[in-house]
Amino acid sequence: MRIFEKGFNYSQDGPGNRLVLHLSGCNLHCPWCSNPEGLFQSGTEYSVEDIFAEIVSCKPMFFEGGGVTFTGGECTLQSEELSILIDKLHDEKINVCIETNASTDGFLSVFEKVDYLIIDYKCPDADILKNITGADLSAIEKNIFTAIGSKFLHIRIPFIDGFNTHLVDDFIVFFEKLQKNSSDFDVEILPYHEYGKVKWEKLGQEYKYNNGKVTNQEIHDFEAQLREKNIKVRRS
Amino acid sequence: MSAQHLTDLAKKLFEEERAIKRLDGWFRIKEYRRDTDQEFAHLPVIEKAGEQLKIICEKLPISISKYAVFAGTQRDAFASTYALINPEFKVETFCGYCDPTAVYDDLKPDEEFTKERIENMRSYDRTIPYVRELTAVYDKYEEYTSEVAFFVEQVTGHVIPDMRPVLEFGIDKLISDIKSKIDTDNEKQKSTHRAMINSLEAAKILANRYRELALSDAENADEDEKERLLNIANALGKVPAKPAENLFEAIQSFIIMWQVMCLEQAPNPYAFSVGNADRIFEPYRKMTDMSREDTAALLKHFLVFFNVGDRSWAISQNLIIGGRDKNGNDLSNLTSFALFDAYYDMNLPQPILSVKLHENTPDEIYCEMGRFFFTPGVLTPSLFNDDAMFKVLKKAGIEEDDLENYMIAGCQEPLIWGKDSGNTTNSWLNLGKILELTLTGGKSAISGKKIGKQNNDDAVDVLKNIRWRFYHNLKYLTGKMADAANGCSKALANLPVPFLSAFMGGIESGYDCRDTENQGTKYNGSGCLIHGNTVVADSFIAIDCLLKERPEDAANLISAVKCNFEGYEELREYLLSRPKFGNNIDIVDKEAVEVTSKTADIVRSQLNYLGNHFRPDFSTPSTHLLYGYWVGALPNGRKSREMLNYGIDPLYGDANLGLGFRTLSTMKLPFKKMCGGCASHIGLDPKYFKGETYEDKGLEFRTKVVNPLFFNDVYEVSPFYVYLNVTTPETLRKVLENPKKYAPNGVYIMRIHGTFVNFLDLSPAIQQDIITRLDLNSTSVAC
Repeated sequence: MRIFEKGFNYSQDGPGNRLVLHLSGCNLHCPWCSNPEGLFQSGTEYSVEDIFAEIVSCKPMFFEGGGVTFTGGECTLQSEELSILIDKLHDEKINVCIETNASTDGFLSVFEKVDYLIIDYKCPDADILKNITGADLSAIEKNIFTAIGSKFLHIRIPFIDGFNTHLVDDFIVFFEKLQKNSSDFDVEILPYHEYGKVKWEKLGQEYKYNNGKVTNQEIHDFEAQLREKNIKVRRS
Repeated sequence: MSAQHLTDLAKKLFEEERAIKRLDGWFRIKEYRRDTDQEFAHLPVIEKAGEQLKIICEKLPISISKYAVFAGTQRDAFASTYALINPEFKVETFCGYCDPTAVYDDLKPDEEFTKERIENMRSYDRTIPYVRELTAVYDKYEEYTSEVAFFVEQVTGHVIPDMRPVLEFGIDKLISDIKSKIDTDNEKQKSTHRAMINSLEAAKILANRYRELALSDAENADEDEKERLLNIANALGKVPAKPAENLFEAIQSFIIMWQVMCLEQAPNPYAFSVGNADRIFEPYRKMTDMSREDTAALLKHFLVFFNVGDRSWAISQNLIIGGRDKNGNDLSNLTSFALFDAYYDMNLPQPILSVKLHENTPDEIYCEMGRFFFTPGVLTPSLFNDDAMFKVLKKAGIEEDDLENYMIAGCQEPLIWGKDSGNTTNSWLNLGKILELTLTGGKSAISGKKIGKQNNDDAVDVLKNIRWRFYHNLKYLTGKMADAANGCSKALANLPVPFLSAFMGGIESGYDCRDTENQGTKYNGSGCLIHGNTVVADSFIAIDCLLKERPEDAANLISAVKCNFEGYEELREYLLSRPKFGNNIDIVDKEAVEVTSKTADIVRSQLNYLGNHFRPDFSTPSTHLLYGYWVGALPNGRKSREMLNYGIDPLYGDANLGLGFRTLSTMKLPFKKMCGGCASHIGLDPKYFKGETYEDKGLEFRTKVVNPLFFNDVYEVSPFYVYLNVTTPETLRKVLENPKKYAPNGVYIMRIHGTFVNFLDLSPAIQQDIITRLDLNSTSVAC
């Protein structure tokens, strides 16, 4: 398995204190990506056993219901090995979370195994999504509908001016549809930031997205609309 | 007097103290002793000490400030000396020599204390047995101390006297107890006990002088002042001779005793510690059911007492709050919380605050600490883990019933309250220098000087057997160090301390706590502060990598470190990129465990003057800078003269994956073997704590920092000490650039090693060290 970054965070990518492993490779090309290393095949190759050993060695830090979170890049691109690893981690009673764009075939073989699922739902407009990120909206929505009800979903929206801020109504429509299947999900709005800009530059790549910033008012209004429809909103 | 009025007075008292630029009481004491040496020459040296203490207490000029509600000061026991808070201090000035007459340089001549008078006293001092013997020790071991392969010193201060019997029974009762023992004493014990009686009488003399002064000052005072002075006089009419019967009397009694204890060891008995002040004073608060607010107000004056002169020169006096008993019950009380209030409101550079934690520590303690950690420029407590410390001390031979009475002397050294003479800073071992000498065959890479065992062995062979050679060298030099350290302790035994000994178990044993032939305290040992464990571990791993991955370059490594990597920059980059301790990389973490464990065993195997073991203490109170300055380049890629790692921490800049990984590495270390103590610093960015109130942040701090580090059951013994600075380098730079804006009262408290100091008082080198070692990459919480 190829990993390009690791670190701990508290209650940001799943419950409690978590080891967050960024798996290399991504099937999308979001121009605002804050971990652009994941877009390229950077990082170090490890065996499943080595990663398993490292995660187990981190157990003392999995306090407050914590564990390990696999993100990326897109972690489900390495679903075969990830799946084996998750089984081994469960044998050790380690809580596992993935953060995924839910657009890959590998998603289906992994999502049922995890204890906590974070899905990026970036845009409800298929054309815009395809043009900007390369993602197939129908595949994503199909996967989300498959996953909903089997476990709690934590859905994240990167809220970006010029990309999806004009699509609030469409977001709502999608979540209302989802709600009909199950209300066992919540939505977190992540305001656009440029923390990844330096990384793009370090990689010798141009950071092409500009002026994506959103106001607190826009976020507040979006959240208010979600709440109006009884859609749970999260802030972490 | 209202709590607010008491507080106002305490703040004015501190202001007044900070305006005092000149400290010369210690010099008078030196002269009193010299002038009576002949008169008491016929007496055993310990009896002479008792007699001279009485004379000091009779003659020393005294005064009572118009802001003071208690009589007494430590001012006459200290000189303006302590290096780290001296703006003149420079890292490169450390010379491996502790000249007891250098203190005379700290007294600026004036009309009263002329140059001639000072030099006369200095010349006399050079003739006394203590100074002659100490000088002989330094001369003998100069080869090793000049570039700090090790360092040794005589240990003054640095114990925790148990004054509670004075508060409870009064001096008169103690004197009567001592008298009852003399009949069955041997000659030496008789002398010691007689000296103790005289030295306790000295405290009564001093108390009585203050009482008379208060009465006399009251004659011409207005009503308010009269009340204040008569309160002092009334208290001193009882204490310390008789038992204290309320909190006011207890504090007054304690202050007089503390003053005399410091006068006995003047000049500069650093790092005497109070112990658990909450346990000392709570019984007396309870006698009148005094409120938290009123208790805090009185304690504010108690805290001001520990601040001496313009820079709070009486450094490293430790006061403890909280803790548990042997059954795990929490021992905090209302006085604990009043102490928090007093500390927070006063925010003084001294005394140092330590908080003992354990698994059953109540939430309220963490809530209280929130405001300390998250208010910029306010002091932060050092944190101790009782659960782990009990295990460490039990293994080191401390009896079960004594465990809850471990206290902290100075920065982080655990000692048993009133029973333990630990000579905590007796010896200092520099693993970095020893590794350098091992690599170079005994030739200093700094000066070319020959130090220790010499050889010209093949470079690659040296590297292939580096561990064996290093430990061999370490054993040899540690033996020399122990001999030298014991020499210092024997020299110091020429200056017995009967007053202190009365509160260290000397009444029962009949021996002085500095006696090198008969053990005066229940527990005794000698400290050894060990420097550079993780730097050495990183170096061993870098050598292994080089031999395995680039064997063709192995022959160049020793040449490279000898010339500080000049011309070997690429090799240095390679070495720097090898695994480093602090990132949860098993291979190097295991090496750090091995280095720490073996070094602790070697140190522990050394015996002191009484046949007791040395105590491994992995702490480096700014000496990671001073000693690093004398260490050449090392195979981990560290350049010549750069700092060593601080305490047990990763070397600055080497742990860059954040607090989680750093904590995982740290907790692997063999804390069970660190019975002399250890030091660890965490610099935290306040932005990681999201709680809305100080209380919330305090609880969050427990969850994110304390619990994982202290109360993880993964290893047999968890880390037991940490100190923190919650700030950023940018903030500190702003404080330095614009102190008037960020520290309007001239005080911005930061921690350096175990003590806290006014950041603005520090020498520039130490200010920069604090900024550097915040090392926020090693403690980041989010990725």
